[in-house]
Amino acid sequence: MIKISNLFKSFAQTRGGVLDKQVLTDISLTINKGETVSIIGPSGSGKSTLLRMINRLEAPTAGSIFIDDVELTEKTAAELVKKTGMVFQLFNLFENMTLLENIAYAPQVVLKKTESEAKELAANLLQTVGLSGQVNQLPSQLSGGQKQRAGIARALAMNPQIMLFDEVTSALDPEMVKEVLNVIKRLAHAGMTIILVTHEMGFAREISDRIIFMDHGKIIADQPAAKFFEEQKNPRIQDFLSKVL
Amino acid sequence: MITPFISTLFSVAHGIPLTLTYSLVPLLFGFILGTVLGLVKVSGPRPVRWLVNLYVSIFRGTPLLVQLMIVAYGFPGLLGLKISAFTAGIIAFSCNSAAYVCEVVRAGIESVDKGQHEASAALSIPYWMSMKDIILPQAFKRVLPALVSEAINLVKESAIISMLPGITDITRQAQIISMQNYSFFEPMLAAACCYYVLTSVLNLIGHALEVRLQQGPKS
Repeated sequence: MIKISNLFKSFAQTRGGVLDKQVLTDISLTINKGETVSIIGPSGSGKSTLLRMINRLEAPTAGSIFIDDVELTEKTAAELVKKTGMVFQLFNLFENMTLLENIAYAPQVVLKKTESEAKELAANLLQTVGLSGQVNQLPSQLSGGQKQRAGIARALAMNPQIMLFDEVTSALDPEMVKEVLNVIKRLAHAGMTIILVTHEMGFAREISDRIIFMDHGKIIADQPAAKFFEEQKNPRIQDFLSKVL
Repeated sequence: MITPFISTLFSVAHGIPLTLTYSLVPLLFGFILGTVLGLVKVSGPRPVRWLVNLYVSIFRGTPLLVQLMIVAYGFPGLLGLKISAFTAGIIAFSCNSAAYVCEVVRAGIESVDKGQHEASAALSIPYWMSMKDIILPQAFKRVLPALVSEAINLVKESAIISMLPGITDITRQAQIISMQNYSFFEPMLAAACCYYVLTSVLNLIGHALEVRLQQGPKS
């Protein structure tokens, strides 16, 4: 379970912090085990920053994040981050490694699996995401959709309890989007806790238990998916949805 | 005309082993020390980074010849040490090369996409493991041409070692023959030919390495 309370984040723009850019303002939120939650909203609303703070790629300016009742701090980060798997918009596969090495590396050095165990795990995961024919290829030899499925396999190799997806289809050609969304859908159906930052409204509606709408660093709505899309009364959200749906 | 030149060339070429010693040994030490300094410059604590900056600015901001003289004659005189010409040459060239390699490695590390660091952090990969297996291999691939340039510079600048007594590298050999024959042109031309062959071979090796790295691991 993830519990976020009174979270603030600002980025320094000048020395002294007079003109700091406030990115997140007083975010409080709970995400239960097995839930699929989509965070949506306009660009620059702080969605990705919030997601990146859950696995400590950004540290909070104020407030706290608890994962399974343990506060995420600099000290606890090493252990807690292992519970989360992150998939990035621009894939971030290790460019100097083959797909198999990309996926086997972290289980080997972090989870201390033997080389053969790690490679077997990687081969199985690549098969699950439909990439068994590409195990020895470099990321530069793959399509965007293939890279992103490999990115998901790499995160899954660490056996995380929570998967974080940061606009994972935004950099893909339209025909590649579906293959990636299908993999996420399978994970959601298997009961994985999923937090998804996305611009794919149809997909968010289909797989999410809850939708969180953010604007200017604040949570404007946190509602069950059906209610959010079908009974929306907030004019700001209605306006947003009318433009993207 | 041709035959005497070839015999001069062979005599000058006797200096090649020493020239190679004074370029390849400092290349190795300079590479190791420079990589360590580059890593410190990217991720070390601030006071240590300042020290590295000072080191780099001193070695890049003063002539190699002066550095060699300080190591060969300055320190021994000051501290009462005895340093052989060989040791002085290796120390001065290695320290000088390390300063240049440090900057090249730093630039290489900083040119690797931030996403590679973030993906490592998200997978809980320890910083130094990620540096060793993910960031540095990509950085070296990018800066290989600059490192080959540094190797070529070392071969050419090793000529300065001929200033120390008793070291018969290519340049010194050419000087000896010039003085014996009272003619500078042929021996110096022969020396130029020797250096050119050495630097061309380095260039070829660098190019072959680049092609190999571009191809990446076997598929």
